[in-house]
Amino acid sequence: MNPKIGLVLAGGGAKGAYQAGAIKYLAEIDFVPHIIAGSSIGALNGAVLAANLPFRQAADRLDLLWTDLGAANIIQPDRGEIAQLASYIIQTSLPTFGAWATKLLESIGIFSNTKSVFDPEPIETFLRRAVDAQQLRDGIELWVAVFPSLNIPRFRYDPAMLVIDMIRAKMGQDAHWLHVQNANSDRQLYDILLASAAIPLAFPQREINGNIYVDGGFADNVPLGALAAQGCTHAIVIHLENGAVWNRHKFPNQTVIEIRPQDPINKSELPLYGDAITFLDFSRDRIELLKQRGYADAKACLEPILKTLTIERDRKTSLNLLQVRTQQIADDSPVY
Amino acid sequence: MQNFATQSLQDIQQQVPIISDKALVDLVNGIQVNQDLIRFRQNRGFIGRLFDGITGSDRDRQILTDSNFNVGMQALHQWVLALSDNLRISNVALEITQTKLLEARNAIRNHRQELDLLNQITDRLQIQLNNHEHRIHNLEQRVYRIETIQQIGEIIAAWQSGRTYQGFHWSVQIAFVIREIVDFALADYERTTNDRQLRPKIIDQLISASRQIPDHAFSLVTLLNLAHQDTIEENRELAQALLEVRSLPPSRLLEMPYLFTLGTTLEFAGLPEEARPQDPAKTAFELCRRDLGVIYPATDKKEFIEHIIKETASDRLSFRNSF
Repeated sequence: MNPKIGLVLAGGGAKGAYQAGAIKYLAEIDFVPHIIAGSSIGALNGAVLAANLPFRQAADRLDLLWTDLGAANIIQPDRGEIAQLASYIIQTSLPTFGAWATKLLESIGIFSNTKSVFDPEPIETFLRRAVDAQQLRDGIELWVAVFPSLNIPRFRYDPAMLVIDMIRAKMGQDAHWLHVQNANSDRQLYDILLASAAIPLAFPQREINGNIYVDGGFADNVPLGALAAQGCTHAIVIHLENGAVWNRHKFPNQTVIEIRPQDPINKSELPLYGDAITFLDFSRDRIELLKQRGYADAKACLEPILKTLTIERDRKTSLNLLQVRTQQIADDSPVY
Repeated sequence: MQNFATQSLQDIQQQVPIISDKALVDLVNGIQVNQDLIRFRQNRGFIGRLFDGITGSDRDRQILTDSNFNVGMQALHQWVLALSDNLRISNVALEITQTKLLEARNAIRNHRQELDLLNQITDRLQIQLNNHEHRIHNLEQRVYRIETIQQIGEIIAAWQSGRTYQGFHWSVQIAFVIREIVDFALADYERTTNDRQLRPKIIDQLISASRQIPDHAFSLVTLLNLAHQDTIEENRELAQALLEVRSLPPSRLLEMPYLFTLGTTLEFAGLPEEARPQDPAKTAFELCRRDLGVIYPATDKKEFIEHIIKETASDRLSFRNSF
């Protein structure tokens, strides 16, 4: 059976720059995936990689895009929306999380009156510039994870809805895996990508074929299952959090290599707050730091694995040769 | 036909466990994942630990670490088994190779013994061959010697019977006969065999065939003057031409004083009367003594024949060897 090699890109907001660095190293060692899956920012990274072949060129393009993203500073909070959100969050969040939620809103500078903290327009424009729809259709097979939010007419997506979705995810509501190339229009193709990255409250949810979707990271931040269902045999998973609780052994038929951040990737050790401020920090310095770490961690992870596989392959080759030669000498008739 | 070693190898080959790439990746990457999980738990602050305790993620990480460890141990166990079987196969291969090596060494040893025996036989054959070659060589030399003697005998017999060299004085005849013997038989024989023993025999035959010449000593000058006088008129010029020495280089002349004196005597005697020396032989003799050295005024037929043979044969040999 021919191996089908996959690349799985976890979600993690601005930490996605780490994946750009890791992928740069993978491209340098001539890694080329047959299929890609991503969740949230991983889906957007995957779209850039799938649409800009050959893969080494795609890796360079992704690296450059993240540099541009840091320079352009296009991820800006919609300050008019945030005041209402602040009161909502404080009032409706679980008491345990209230303090951190308040800190989150303060750190990103809150106050106004819409459904999302960030203006989605710049990121949509950026995505359309970075990913050509036709090239993506012709590129590497791409799957993204999205989470089906409750679609209640006349109900706005607010922090209460966020909490409901979190509970649904914990209760076992699975993410959906959408095949991007199956989108029936360019508009839907971009919506699928943006749905996977639709961080609740930060970006607006997306409607696709009558379903309302938000960030797939809710229920499946590492969507290897999407690739396993497509017959993927080998996969490289790039995580975006330290100590990620993800069990590779749930995929006994896949050979999985996990690249994990070696150093603390969050800006703060405080739970939720640390995640949140790191999630949304698209500053230039931060992006460059994460790219460097991604490259170094991928190298540190892959080199011993490749070395081990090479040694084992050489051992098998030499053993086979030994057996063949021994058989020849054993079968050889006596010389005297 | 399969032997024991071949059968063992095939048996062992069927038992070789194959460690998959997945097991190796799980082993190495599992260590890396565990390092991440352990580092995370070690560095987790108080609030973080509290949070992880509440959410249960700490327990999840512990389980993940344990299962990675377990899978890694299983992979390691498989690998050890694979390496052990690799070692077993290597040992069998080594045993087979050693057996074959011993077999080859025995073959070489047997071959060497046969070779030694063949060498001994060859040496004996070589000795026999050398003996045969030596005998054949001796026989060939003997045959050659007999043939040469026969040729010489025929030349002397032809002369003795008067079929050759008639009308010349005895000394000129001797010079001609000896030249024929040397040119047609003796020179090749001596050059090939280095055998000089035929010369006394030739001398004896020539003495025996020269009964008309007295055995006692006589004057060389007288003999040489007779060489011209007793040669009939129409043969003198021929004798003079055949025995002329003036065209020879001095180095050759040094080794042939008697032939020089004979040839010079004939040359002087053939000069017009007004230019001819009063005693051509005496003049030639003195010329020889002055320019070439050793020559004696008195001689006898044996000594004369010896000198002519020695000078003719040496000159022909030197002349032929110079090519």
